[in-house]
Amino acid sequence: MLKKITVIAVVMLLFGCANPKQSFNPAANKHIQSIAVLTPVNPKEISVHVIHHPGMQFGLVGGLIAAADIASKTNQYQEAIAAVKINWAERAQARILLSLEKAGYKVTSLSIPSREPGKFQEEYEGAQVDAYLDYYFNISYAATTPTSDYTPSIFLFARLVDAKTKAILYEDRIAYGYQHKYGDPVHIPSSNVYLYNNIDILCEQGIKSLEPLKEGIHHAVDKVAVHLNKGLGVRIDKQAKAAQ
Amino acid sequence: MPACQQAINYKEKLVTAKDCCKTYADIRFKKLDFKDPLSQQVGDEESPAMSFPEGKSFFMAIEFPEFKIPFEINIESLPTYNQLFVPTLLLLDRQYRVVRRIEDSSFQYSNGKTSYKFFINYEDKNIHYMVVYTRSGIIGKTNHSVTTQQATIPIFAGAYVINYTTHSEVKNKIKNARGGNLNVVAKEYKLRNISDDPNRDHSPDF
Repeated sequence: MLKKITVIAVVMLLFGCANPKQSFNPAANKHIQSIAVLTPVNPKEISVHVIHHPGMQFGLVGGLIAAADIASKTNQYQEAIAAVKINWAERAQARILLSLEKAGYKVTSLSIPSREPGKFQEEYEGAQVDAYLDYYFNISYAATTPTSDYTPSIFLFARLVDAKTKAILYEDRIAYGYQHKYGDPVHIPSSNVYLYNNIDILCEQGIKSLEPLKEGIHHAVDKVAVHLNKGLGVRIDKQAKAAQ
Repeated sequence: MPACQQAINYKEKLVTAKDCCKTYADIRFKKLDFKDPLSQQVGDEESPAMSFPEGKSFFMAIEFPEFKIPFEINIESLPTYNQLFVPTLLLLDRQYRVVRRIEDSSFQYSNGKTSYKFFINYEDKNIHYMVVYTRSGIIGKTNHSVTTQQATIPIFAGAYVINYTTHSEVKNKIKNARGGNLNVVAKEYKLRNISDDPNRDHSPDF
């Protein structure tokens, strides 16, 4: 428990800068026909967060108190949903493969056993493809303050890397549900039905509270496929021609 | 959102605004370069207005930088109070002919603002101007955004002062309006490589 609190406190204190975003330019990357999609690490648990916890303002001691409160809420929630085990990574991977295939790519799934959670790979190899899609995500219930509603939250990081040149062809961040400010993500709102007043109400919902997260993971990976859509520019051109 | 802030009556302003131009060739375009983004309060006293196929609208007119290599254009519309200008884009060639039209539905609403990015590639070299206006048919439609407000209170404890900050959530309704705040940025299309990338996105745990 103490180790967990320390880890949360350190993560809360060390908020880094976000990578620059890179939009995908379909016309300049017509050679990208096949993509190996790296399987993300399955998140260990669905955490519960209070983004602006008052304890965070009182130095390390306050930070530890805030972290202990968050760890306790996370544990309470884990117990409430213990009856169901979901492999979020498998769910995300199945969906993104399907979405990219619909977008016109030839896709393969690439599993890297040594993969670390919460970061991109530093090297990309192992598949005969034009590009690698690397992504990872956090899954949680988040509240702005201790008195705000708990909102489902998926925060997904994605980048597409050219297999030959290792150039970053696309990089973005997607936030489903909770409106995070970190790194100016593309925000996809969740339904207001999925807001819970406090941790007890959230826990009372039990496995029902997993439904918006299941929806959210699909929405988040679908957005990546939309960003990588090869036909986007072409579609707009066709509309313009039709309008003239 | 503080109660003293009043929504701007863009409708009234647009009724009284005179049409600046009859054709796209009459427009005075603002030159965009790679160093300085362009910003404009669309709907203010200096804002031009003219008739478009869907009706009269305030607009922003931009001349793109000279084409050397492909570049990206990023248009961002930020709310003024709770009013958002949701753009339709007309891309024109050097002879002021419309060669591409980008619908407002292509814009992505996120975090209270709406934005769209596109590239000018080698095959688009003929595109040199852009007109940004809004369709009357979408005025009044609403979106939602959540913002966090903070207030800091100094707490005096003997010789020490602790600044205690409280946060509160504000839920806003953002309405599509005839005016707003536009930012346009041009960026040359140069890709980073993973070897020179700092990979700073070590995931914040939320």
